[in-house]
Amino acid sequence: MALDFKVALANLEGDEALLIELAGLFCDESAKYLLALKEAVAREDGKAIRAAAHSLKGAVSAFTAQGAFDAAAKLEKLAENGELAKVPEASAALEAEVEELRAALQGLSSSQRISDSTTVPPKRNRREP
Amino acid sequence: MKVLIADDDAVSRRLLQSALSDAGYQSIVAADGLQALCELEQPHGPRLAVLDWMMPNVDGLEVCRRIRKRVAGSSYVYIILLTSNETREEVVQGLEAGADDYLTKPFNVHELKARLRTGLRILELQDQVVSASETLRAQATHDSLTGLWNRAAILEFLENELARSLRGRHSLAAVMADLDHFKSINDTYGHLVGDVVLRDAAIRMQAAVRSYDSIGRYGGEEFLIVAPGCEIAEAGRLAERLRKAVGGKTIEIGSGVSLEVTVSLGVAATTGNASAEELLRAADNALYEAKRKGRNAVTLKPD
Repeated sequence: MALDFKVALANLEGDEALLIELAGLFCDESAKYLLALKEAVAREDGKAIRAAAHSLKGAVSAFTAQGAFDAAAKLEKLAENGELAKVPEASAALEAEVEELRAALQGLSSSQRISDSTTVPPKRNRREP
Repeated sequence: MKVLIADDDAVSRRLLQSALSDAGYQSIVAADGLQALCELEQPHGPRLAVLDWMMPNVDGLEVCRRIRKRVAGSSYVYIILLTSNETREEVVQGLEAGADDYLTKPFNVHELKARLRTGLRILELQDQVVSASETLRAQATHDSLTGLWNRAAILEFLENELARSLRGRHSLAAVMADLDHFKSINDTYGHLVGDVVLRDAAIRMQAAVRSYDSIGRYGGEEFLIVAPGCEIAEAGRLAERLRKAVGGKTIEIGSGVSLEVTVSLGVAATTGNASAEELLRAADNALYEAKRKGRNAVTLKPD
């Protein structure tokens, strides 16, 4: 499973509205990262591959999506070590993980947007530190 | 409390921002290391920072190093480094670059908040240390009874001003002031009344000097005024103002009793070619003359 909603939500302290907002952001940002990754792989540009994999790793970490995170970490390591021969396979695996996550998150954000037009969470009580 | 968030990934930024605003922090957001440095270098900029390690241009590690290289006196920034590479070497590298703490992505929001609270505690401790050392510095340079500079501080000021007057070829005056018959006030009314008189005379003289003059308690009932840019005649007028400020009005010592207190003053000036000792001796000799003339007087000792 690309995404465990319970785990993702628990890490956001149960803030569903935030999860939906992050999902929307992720769908936009990950499209850019994936594009950058594909171009970098085509150019066999190790540095750019590493940067794109790193960005994806950071973005998926918001959802504690372990599969996608591990795939990104693996690709980042390969690029860092200059093992470019293994990059296409690892890159494809990462793309698949990210696409799966995107699908899960897209469903979440669109279905919620229909039922609830506000995506901004109501502010909770705050305490100034 | 302001917290700087620096991460090139928009999703991570938003997550951090939301977690911090829930905890009551005011977050300031930067998308790369240069922006982060800009924010941290603002006056009254954030003192807590959560920095992503890998960022384009200037990375989190470099931000740590540059912040730690800042001049002493700027307030401490507590830095938490975010990393998704948790090898021991990298953690060590991050801490050596100047990070106070680190957090591994994917991070837990509770853990982030707890680590920020640790940072707050450290910053509070630093504030206490700074205010304690400021208090100590004030105590070390001021006379506790009158609030004027103490002997060591006013002498240091005199040395500095002498060097400046020599460089700038301008005049510098020293005025030595001594309360008249102070011993008999102490003997007649006691030391507590003596203290009231000293404090009152000090307040009056401080109000009478120019803003760029310095006045210190030189000894028991003796005061030294250092007047930069003052030639002998002008310093004489300053001394005359001081004399009138002290003697012009009686000093109330409580229970409806007032005392007539006067001061004698000796004035000397130099254009920087005299040593501090020579200038002080000249002012002291002039003071002696003023006392000899019958007190409540000003005497000038021409250069």
